[in-house]
Amino acid sequence: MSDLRPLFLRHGDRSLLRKRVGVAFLMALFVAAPSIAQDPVEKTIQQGPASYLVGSASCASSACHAKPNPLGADTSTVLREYATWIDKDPHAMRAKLTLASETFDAIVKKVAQLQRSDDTARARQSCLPCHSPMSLAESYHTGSSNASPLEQGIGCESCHGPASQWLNRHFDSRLSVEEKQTLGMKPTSQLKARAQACAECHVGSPNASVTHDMYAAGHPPMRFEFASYHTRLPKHWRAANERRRIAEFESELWLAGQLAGAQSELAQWLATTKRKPNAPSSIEKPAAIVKPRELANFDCYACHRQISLSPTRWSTVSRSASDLREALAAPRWRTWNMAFLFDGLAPAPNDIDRDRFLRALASQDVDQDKAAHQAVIRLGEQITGESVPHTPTTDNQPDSQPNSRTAVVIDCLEKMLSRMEASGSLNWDEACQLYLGLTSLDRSVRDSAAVKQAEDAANKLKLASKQREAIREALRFTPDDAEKPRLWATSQVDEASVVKAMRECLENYRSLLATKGTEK
Amino acid sequence: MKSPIQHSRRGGLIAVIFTTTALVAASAASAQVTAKPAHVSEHQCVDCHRQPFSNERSNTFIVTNAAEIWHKHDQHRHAFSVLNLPVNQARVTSMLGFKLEEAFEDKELRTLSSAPDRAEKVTKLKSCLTCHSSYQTDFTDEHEIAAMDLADGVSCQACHGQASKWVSLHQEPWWRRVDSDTKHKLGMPTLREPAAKAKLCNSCHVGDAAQSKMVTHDMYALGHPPLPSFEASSAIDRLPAHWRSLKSIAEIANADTRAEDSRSLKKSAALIRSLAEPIAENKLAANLSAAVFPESEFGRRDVASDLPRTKTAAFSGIAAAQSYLSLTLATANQPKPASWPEFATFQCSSCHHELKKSDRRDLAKLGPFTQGRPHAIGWTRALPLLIAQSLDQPAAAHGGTAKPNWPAKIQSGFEALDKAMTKEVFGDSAAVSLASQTLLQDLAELTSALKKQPIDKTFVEGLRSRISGPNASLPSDLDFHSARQVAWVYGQIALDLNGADLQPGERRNDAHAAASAAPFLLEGKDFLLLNSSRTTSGESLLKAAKDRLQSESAFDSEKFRKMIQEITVPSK
Repeated sequence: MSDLRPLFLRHGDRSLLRKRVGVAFLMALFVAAPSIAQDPVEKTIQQGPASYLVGSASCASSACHAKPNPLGADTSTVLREYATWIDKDPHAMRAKLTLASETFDAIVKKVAQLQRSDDTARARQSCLPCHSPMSLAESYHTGSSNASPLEQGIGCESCHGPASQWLNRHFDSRLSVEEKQTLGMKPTSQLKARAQACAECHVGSPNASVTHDMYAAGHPPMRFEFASYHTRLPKHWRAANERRRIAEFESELWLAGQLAGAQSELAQWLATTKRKPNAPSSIEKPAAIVKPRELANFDCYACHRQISLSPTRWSTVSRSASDLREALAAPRWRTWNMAFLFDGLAPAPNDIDRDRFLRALASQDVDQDKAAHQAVIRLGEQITGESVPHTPTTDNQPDSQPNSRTAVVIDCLEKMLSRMEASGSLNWDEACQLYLGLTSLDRSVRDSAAVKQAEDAANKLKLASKQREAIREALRFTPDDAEKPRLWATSQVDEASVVKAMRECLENYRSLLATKGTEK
Repeated sequence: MKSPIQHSRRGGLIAVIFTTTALVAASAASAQVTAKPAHVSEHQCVDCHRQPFSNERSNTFIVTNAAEIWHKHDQHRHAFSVLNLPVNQARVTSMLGFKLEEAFEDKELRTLSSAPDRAEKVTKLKSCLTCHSSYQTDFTDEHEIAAMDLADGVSCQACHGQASKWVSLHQEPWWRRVDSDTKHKLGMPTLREPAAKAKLCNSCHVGDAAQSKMVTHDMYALGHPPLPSFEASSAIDRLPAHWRSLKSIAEIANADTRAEDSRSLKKSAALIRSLAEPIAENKLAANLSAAVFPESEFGRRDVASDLPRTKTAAFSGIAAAQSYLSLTLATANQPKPASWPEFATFQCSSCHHELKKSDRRDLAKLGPFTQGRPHAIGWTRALPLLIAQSLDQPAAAHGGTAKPNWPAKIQSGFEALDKAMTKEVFGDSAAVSLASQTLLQDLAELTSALKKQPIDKTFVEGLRSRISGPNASLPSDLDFHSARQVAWVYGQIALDLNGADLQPGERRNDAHAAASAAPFLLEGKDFLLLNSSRTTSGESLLKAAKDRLQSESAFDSEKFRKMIQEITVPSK
């Protein structure tokens, strides 16, 4: 479903996601009437007063966020946010270049072609919620679909929320974060809210999803991991302060990203799943023809792999016939964004194991496993309903203890790794998430003052880095070679040795952190 | 039961003299008035057709060692036993969901289980047996299943039809004069007729929804090797022939009027009258050629003089497309599945390809086969399009009506199918159903038109010039399997223009193989795997499938196009 509801129609209040899901759900009921879906005006009326985008230029006054910096006299990032953004942030310049590129035009053209339409405007519009929200807003105001996407990058309001209601008040120190939030300003100083803001585009939302048509036309794969993206983003805020303010910053960052990813994924799933009004956890059996779920949500390599005739494929799998069929013959739901959902991130629904949960997500047929389907809906509603989701804790490390957050991270990684060791095979998406989790762990360990003082820490860190590098090499694609397969060829990788390296690496970090514990 | 055969001394011809056995059998058959032809024990076939090689006489009508040749050399015999090879057991178990022997009474896998709690397993196994044995979905009678010998794989009656109604009759000399329709009604397809033969072979090697012959995506995913492209004429050539060429058999049969002496004629008349559905006098043609190739259908010409290999290949090309369309039609007409649609009717490589940058960004290729939507299987269309282009313009007076523009009709039919199958992801069922039906209709008409077409040297040369040379009309971007189709036909043309008829017991020798594949060797390698070797072991079957996948991914359509532009028929 390509809903084109502009970003500026979004609310910024606490129950942001809940409402958005609700709206999307209402819209899902109207799928049969595309004229409604195509008419934003009608929706505005339904929505009542709304926040809308005003454009980044409004923030860029020299007295506000674009303070000049004569001869480098002022090294503070504060009040120079706009300059940092426009000079260094890929959301500014690179986003513009992307839209100006031939590749972008070609992708739009091909998406239109796949949709059997000569009119590229509609295909182009489906890109704009993420790639150029301002031009979508402009086209809404002017009624033209040809607004130049070049003028704006992905500006301030894409992350901070549409500013129409708070632009003139947000500097008022009497306003609390909560009050600002009701006006549409996102509390990006909280890591979870920040992660959600990123995930809205980088994972997707009911209003902005990357479709298989877009991938086929050339859209790069979506593989978002908040902590690593965050690390690379040029900061236009007091990053050092923040790291001091938030205990176990890196682990908080990683957990916030994992939660936001699962949240976005489930929000999109819920939006395309029909439910009875006023009975959110029950399922309405679709009366009309069931359309296959959007292919983009499935594990790419479930289908995009070379046909294998290896007898080990089916002889070593000790499963029931129906499980085997599900495992080998049907597309699998993509686990990139939910890699750790049941590996420590969220309590598994009663009696529904991970495989069954993923099958229910992938299933076209609600009757196939009603219990699992309802469990997905319940968990989805629970997770997406919380604007600031609850961070899990572990049993053996109470919240008040030092390293409690990092312990949760280790717990997640441990559970996934044990699962891999038990199955004896790697799923590329999950293996990469595990690698990125180890990398986050590495940053956590380096942050820790105790580890810095500990003897032998430098050597251990060096060793762990080497191990991570080896894992990275094993998992990486051949870069920038058009003719080399963009497929991670399992046949060329010794899966067991990768799993072993991951285990050694994890144990290394675990012992480094334990060092700190004993010193205390 | 023995049917004595006596070799007539006169002219070396065989007269089959009937004993009461045949009459008894015939009256037994007449008891079940409207019953369908039933499977009978093939001991009856072997009694006559399995003479030792040394007893075979080259100039007789009946090939008395046909079964011997088949038993010794024909791979169809292993169609069932291959399921139980150690190397295949794991994959068969995963496909079935249970061990093969669980559907049987005995460990030797001879008798299907009749236990009620195993009925489901037997039913599941039967979906394999439609192609892996002589089992047919219309087997109603337990006796039929009991009469079937699974150890024989795809045996006599799988191709020649269920024999209960004709096993006696076909021993009569006049049987060869009975027209194809009547034989067909009695259960025996006329395999001399290339269209019937092509349909039969393709029904397993490509599929046939009506007979529940289909390899589903579940089967593939759980271990069935991918079905490769198939061209019946060259495949038949690779079999050890247990038949005579049409030309030689027609010569013998048409000369053999003396076989019906007055005595046997009298018996024949009695036998015909005793049938439940007596054969009308006008259903007996003057001779074998007239019976198999009625003038009404084949025009006023000597069909036996047609170049046989190219002819079979032409019909097979159309039949393969019909087989495939029977599957797209059946899956589209199924009630929309709650889970995934059947993937097996889509081109494997449209999903099963590696994700390459160049692949994804190849924006110039925006035809019906564009990336992003799984598309129809492509290889079955290469030959129908070539045939459509090669058909003669019939004389205006002949039919009275204007000749349909075959190339445009077939081309647009396939384009409509492509559109329907990519209209949305996994196709729009209603549109796929309509496109399949239309195309099936058109291909049936094309087959009729082809029957009237003399497959003489002119036609064959015309076909060849469309494949190779300055007037070639092949699409520039043939895929591996389409290229195989074209290459096979080219090889059959080469053999027709140069080769000799094969006699029973003769297998295509190296010279034949060389003549057909010579133009398609890359550095001495059969890169299209046109002459895949006959295999009996599971390992080599698996290896063949692996080789095919490898050759498929290494295939370069541009190289092939250049190669085929430059080849010439190797002359004698």
